Amino acid sequence: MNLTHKFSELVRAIKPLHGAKRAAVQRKRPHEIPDAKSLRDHLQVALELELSTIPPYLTALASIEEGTNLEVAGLVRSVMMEEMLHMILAANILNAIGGDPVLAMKGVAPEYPAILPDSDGSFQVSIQPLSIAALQTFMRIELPTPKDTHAKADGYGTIGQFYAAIMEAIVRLAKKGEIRFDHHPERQVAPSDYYNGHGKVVLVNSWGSAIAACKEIIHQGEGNDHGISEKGQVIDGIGFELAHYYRFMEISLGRRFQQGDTPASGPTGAVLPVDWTRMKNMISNPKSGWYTADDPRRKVMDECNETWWKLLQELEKGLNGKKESLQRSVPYMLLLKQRASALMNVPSGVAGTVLGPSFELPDSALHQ
Amino acid sequence: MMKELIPTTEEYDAVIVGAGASGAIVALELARKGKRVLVLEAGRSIRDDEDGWRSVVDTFHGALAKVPNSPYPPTAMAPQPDVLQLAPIKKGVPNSLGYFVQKGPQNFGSDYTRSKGGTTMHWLACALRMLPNDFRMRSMYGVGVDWPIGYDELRKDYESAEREIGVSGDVGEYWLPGVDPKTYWEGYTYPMKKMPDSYVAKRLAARIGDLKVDVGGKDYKIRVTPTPQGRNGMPNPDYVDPLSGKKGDYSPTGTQSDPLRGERCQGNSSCAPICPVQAKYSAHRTLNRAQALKKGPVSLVTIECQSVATFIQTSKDNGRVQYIEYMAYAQDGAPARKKRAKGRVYIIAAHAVETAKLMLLSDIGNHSDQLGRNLMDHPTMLTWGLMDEPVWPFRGPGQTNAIPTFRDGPFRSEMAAFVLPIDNWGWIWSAFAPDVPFAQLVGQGMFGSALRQKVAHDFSRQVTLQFEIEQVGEAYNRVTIDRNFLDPLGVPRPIIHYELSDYVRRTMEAGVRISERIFKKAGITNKTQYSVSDPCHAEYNGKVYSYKGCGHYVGTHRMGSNRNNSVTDSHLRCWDHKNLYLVGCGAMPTFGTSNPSLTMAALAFRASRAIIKDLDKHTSKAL
Amino acid sequence: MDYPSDPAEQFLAASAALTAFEVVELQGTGMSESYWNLLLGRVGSAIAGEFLSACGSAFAKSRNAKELEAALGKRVMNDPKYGPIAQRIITLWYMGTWSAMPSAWSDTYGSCMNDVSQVVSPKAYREGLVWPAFGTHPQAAKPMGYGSWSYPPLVKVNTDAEP
Repeated sequence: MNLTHKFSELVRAIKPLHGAKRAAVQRKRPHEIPDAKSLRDHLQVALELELSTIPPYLTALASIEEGTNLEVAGLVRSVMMEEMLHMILAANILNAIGGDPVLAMKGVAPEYPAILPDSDGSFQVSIQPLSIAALQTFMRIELPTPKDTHAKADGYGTIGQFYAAIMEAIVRLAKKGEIRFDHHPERQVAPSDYYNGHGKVVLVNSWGSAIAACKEIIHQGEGNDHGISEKGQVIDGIGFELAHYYRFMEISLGRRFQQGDTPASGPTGAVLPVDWTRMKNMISNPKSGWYTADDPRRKVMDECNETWWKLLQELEKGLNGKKESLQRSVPYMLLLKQRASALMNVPSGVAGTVLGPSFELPDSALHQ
Repeated sequence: MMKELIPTTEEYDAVIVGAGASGAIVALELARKGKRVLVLEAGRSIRDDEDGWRSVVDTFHGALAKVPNSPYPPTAMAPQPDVLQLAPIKKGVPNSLGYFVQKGPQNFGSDYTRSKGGTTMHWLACALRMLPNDFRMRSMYGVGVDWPIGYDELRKDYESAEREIGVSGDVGEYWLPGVDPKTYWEGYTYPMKKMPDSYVAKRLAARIGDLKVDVGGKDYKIRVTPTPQGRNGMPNPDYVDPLSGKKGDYSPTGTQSDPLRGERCQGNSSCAPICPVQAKYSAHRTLNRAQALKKGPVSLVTIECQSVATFIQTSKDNGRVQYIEYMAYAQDGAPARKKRAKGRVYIIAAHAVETAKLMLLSDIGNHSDQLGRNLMDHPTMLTWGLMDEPVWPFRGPGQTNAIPTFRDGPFRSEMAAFVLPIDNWGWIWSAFAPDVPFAQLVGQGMFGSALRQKVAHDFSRQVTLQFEIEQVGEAYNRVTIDRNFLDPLGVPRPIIHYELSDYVRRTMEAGVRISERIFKKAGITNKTQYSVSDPCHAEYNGKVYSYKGCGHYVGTHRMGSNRNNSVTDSHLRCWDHKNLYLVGCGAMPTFGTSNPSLTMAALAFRASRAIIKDLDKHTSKAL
Repeated sequence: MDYPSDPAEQFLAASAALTAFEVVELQGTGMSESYWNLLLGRVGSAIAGEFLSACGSAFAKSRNAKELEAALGKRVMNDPKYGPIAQRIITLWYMGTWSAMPSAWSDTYGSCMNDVSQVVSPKAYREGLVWPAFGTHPQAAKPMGYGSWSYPPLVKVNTDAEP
């Protein structure tokens, strides 16, 4: 199959499923954000949205056999690191307008397979190794918002729509004096607090800086402008400046973008060598409950889940003013990745597949 | 006779020999002023992008004996010294097994790296400034020599060096003996905040408490302070960039492949020899910055690797350098090609040993008879033991904290000063841990839970102190050449003559006493062992002390106040050859107890100013 | 105690007892297959098979982990033929390194041409279990994060027992 053909196939595959039957929507929110409380709720969902992308991306990264597919691993890692940044940006806005970020709670951190928080439910996100199918899901997550689409009553079709609604509300409510941006300045995560590569944290203390934070998220995720079908604006930047959607497209098609490429052209640059035989044959959406308490596999899966739980706790504390917790979350993140990688060396017992991380929280992690 | 046809380069503004930190800084500074520069590097052009760096890291992972040069094996044509080549020297029989010919009586225990990036590839990245008294050893203590310049004249260049290298440190916590912080720092802050203290250093400091130790009839308080280091940490919002004048916008340099990775140390605990995320400074950063400077589409800086400078041709009339002869070689067995590089000014920045060697080979610049002499290192005596609580070593940068108490004091008229870093990596340097201690346990027949418990118990308690001892220049410690000992290109190998003076040995004796006091107070059971079979050892008052080389080669082409006592002036311009500069650690007349790279970098900035002035003064071709 | 019937699984079970790491932890390194094949190559399949049988007899005689260690000590570690093999297997898992067989052993049983001391592979080094055994990570791999060195390690290690 030639690349042009592959490209158009791919683009078709990840388009929103208009008219198709949609999975049950987990949450429903009105498409307009009427007041400050609703805005805070939306920003909490934004936080959850960013958070929910980290397990699938981390799993994809860990599924690449170490030392192989270096370029691909670099692209996936860069996206994951930026999602961490997006979560922190959302928290900065939420804190500034007087909210309290919540992460370490069952239901906040999703169970997989998951419908993304506040999405229109048109696709599910699974914990699975890097594959063409996984990449199509990732591209669907990061899908650029077509021009002229409005937020829908039954959830949002793209992350861009969702943030567009938030930005609109920020400006409107700030103008009306219904929100201020001077809450908990001590909770603001500054560049000197969060510093692990990929993008810079924006301190939020005004509606202007709140909008800048939103734009940073959208820009990194979808790119700075609209739709694939548009008459071919040039893709902004290459390499790690490229929006997430296009980075995943590069891996899917095994080709890099180059200067001058457009959303319509797809990537026409150098070949990106991808060795699909070096991805771990991980079973999708594993569950620790598959194994009895005395099965050693249960133990290593529980350990991995424990690390995920600890990471969420440190992150939550870190976003609620305890800055040293933010620093301490980094070692948990690295440990999580290592434990996920170790699981992918252990046979699952099912058809030659191996285990993987399950991102399950203990029952004690319930809503307050 | 037929005239040999030797390919000659076009004339550059400057030809630099050596793509290490000194050469890189000079190249960058010159290119910033629009000068065209050719850099000749003897070793290979190590790639620093994702794939290239991965190959370097893998080479280290796969090495059986993990030593500083493990990730950077030499090429066949540009060999380098390696600590694995050390062997006891028998009287009258030099150790010529490795690259060096070690004449003794003692071994020079250090290595260096011949490749793009030089020895910054494996340096630990401790970035200590010298103390004001280190510059005036003769007038203060009657030993060594005074520098032609003092600390104050170098302070601004230190700031430039700390910016280029990217130093993390905390001026407020960094106590130094005999130093007035007001005049020493003048309100300065480091570009990045200090690296977090290691757990072992924190525990050691807590357990040492207010211990005082007597040296030369005076009580000294043992203090543990953070070590400034050339490693990416958290940017300091109070830092004012000396280049832009802006405050708080310092941005660390990440990896070459992904500039947003390696912006901060990840705790790979392997700074020496390799930082997998390039959070540690290497000269590659400076070289990349230099090569990014262009005139039109063409880079102002050209780097030719696998090009070994073999001869500096000077004019009989005025002593000026006319060209540098070099051998360009391939790895495929094809014969090396002789070439010539031409510039208006020439900078030899090839490492203290290699620079001296090249000058001696060319038989120039030695009116003072100091060329190759005054070779110094920090002979490092290690003491090690097991603490009575786990201190969780082998984590974090190799050194985050040190005891600076004995870096200066009246005792320096009798015995050498020393700095006392706390090793964060257990017995790695002292006893080749974990490999050798583990092999011993298994060799004793341990297995199963007993083995695992023993590893957990003992290895988590390993502590090593490093007595890095100052040396002053001695005429007999020197590099010479002998055409009976040649490398594969036919270039004479360095002959090393080395002996520790009593000035150093007295400190070894005192060091063991100080170590015993610290160990006792901190609850450390001493496990130190010195032996005459250690390749590097010295005897004093009937006792044996072992030491390691610290990789700090200094003094072989020292600067000075006149052409009779030194090889260069204080701008590192050769007294005898006006368009020739010798830049590097070899220029330092003394170096106290500071790891020399930072001072070397500062001197490279100083020399660059003089070189640019020379180039600008003589815009005509004949410089 | 139970001893699997498949030789590669026997190798894992014996390795777990010799190293005091669990089978699932050994599997987690991803080195199982590579070390098993390496052993076959370095000592030959006949001797490797005898070695596994000797370990099997220790398993058969033991009712719990403590008895198993005693039996392994007697039947394997102290055996002039199997002891050196066991030591090398332990070193493989802990250090990722193969040590050449001792000369006394080679004099008796002969030497395979690939029996040289070496790090098995860069990956083998990274997966060495000596590092987590005392709360750290292999140098230049699996970093623990900025500032992690300032506190005790996240994963608890019992260091109190001094055998």
